[in-house]
Amino acid sequence: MRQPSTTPKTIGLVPAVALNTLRVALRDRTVLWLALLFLAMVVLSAYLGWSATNTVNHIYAQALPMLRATGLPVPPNPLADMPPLAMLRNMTTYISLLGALVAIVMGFQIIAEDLRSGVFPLIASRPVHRAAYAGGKMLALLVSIAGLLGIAAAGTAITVVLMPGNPMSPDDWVSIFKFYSVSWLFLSAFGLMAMGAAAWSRSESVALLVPVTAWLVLTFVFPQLSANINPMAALNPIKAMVAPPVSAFFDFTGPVLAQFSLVGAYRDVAATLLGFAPADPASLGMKGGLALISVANLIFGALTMTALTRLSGTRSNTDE
Amino acid sequence: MTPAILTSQLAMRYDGAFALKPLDLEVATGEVFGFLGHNGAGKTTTLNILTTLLKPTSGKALVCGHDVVVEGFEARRRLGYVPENVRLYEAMSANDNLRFLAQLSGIRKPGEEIRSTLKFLECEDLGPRRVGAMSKGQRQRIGLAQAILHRPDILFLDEPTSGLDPLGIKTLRDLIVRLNKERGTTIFMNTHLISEVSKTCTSLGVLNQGQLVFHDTIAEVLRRFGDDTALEHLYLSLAPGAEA
Repeated sequence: MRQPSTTPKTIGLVPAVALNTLRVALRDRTVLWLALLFLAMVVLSAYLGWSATNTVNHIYAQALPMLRATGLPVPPNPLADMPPLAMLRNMTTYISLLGALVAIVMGFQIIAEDLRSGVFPLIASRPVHRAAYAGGKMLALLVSIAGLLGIAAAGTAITVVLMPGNPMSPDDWVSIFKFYSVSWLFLSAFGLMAMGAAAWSRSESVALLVPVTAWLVLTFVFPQLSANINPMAALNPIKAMVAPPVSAFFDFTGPVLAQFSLVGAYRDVAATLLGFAPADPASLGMKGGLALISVANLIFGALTMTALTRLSGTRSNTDE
Repeated sequence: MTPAILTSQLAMRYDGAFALKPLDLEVATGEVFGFLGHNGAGKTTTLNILTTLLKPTSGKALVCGHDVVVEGFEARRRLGYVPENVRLYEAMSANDNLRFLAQLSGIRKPGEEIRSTLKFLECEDLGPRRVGAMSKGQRQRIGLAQAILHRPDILFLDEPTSGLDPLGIKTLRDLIVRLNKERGTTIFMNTHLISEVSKTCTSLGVLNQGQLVFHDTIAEVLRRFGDDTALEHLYLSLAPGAEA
């Protein structure tokens, strides 16, 4: 009998799986709406930053003649030393909040769709090494997040260029590029975590709750345990500059939890890149923060790879 | 000639209880084998093991000479699988679904092979249509298409006529027979419908409570026991409690 097929190459199948996953994801309205909301918020954050800066400058300019006329000392403009990228500071909040949630939903859907649709047993009955399947799924996630952040970066660039009185140097553009690259790495960790959870758990609710809970703990609980920062203050892109209460508890939890505080590390690195906050001596610093985010990706990537390669061929969530 | 399927003491346990008791079965190449048994008899478990989707607790199974556990990849190259309820990406067209599964099967020219397969199954018009908008019978045909795109030596079908109307059943039955005759594909078909077996199959096995209780050719069964009605009586006596 004529055999029109050849032995599929494991590496060659990775892009095929990834491409198909992207095609399916582009038809997923939940992901698309969330992504759209995220993009709108990121673009809006640039405008809000510019608007706030502009308002302060305007008030300062209005106050200047009045102060001079009354002979009072004229204080320097508080924003004069602020780098132009500081107006993008709200982006770190949107990326660490909304962006992380979008990444979680993306990662979850990429796996859940195959299980929910019942296609997975068909894929498992094909001559495909499970590593190729897992690799393709992970590649699709990384490309999706890169695409999302790429559009966000383009939106930011256009907004920044269109705003008056905001000259950007080549170094500023490099910083924006670095900021989005770090953001990509940061969001990938959450996406991979969600992919792994979707593969491990037979329950879709549990699979979605696990990464969301992890994100909540990292975003709100860790800052409170390590520095007594309340959840609302944790939303502020600029860290509360109040030192944690002096106690043996915070002396212990501060440095210990900093080693695992993924969101804290991201916000510190982002603040350094955009130049809107002084270096926090309690944080891991640029290198330490990048190392933590990279290690998180490696760990979640390895766990996801393991979960996907062990996924039962009969696994389908359609019967549940 | 290497048998299409050969199992030796193949067994599956769930929580200590046998879902499939040690099974010794041989299906010759070119046969249309009907695996009869009522719901929960262990047919799907057997099929899942033979298609490499499930690892057996003990025993051995060869598909086209390849051990399904040790040489699962090679076995998968030679088999096609149609699940009971064919499920594909609903939002995508049949062509897009087939293209993806063709790529996974290592087909060099997916477009060409998809066209010729849909032509063979007399459903070329379904290619551009969205799977989510298809009827059960149409989905079943696309399910069959994805399973034979790479021209497998053996095709596994799990309750292929489940939920189909009489016309859909007849169409599918004719396709299975054509596939066997024109392409020489061995067919392994799970079913609990005796009418299916007598009209389509060349041999049958009866599974009852995880145990193979009968295995012979249809010709021999009809010679020994007479017509379809006798076949029904035979099945009911071998698998008491089964619904014909």
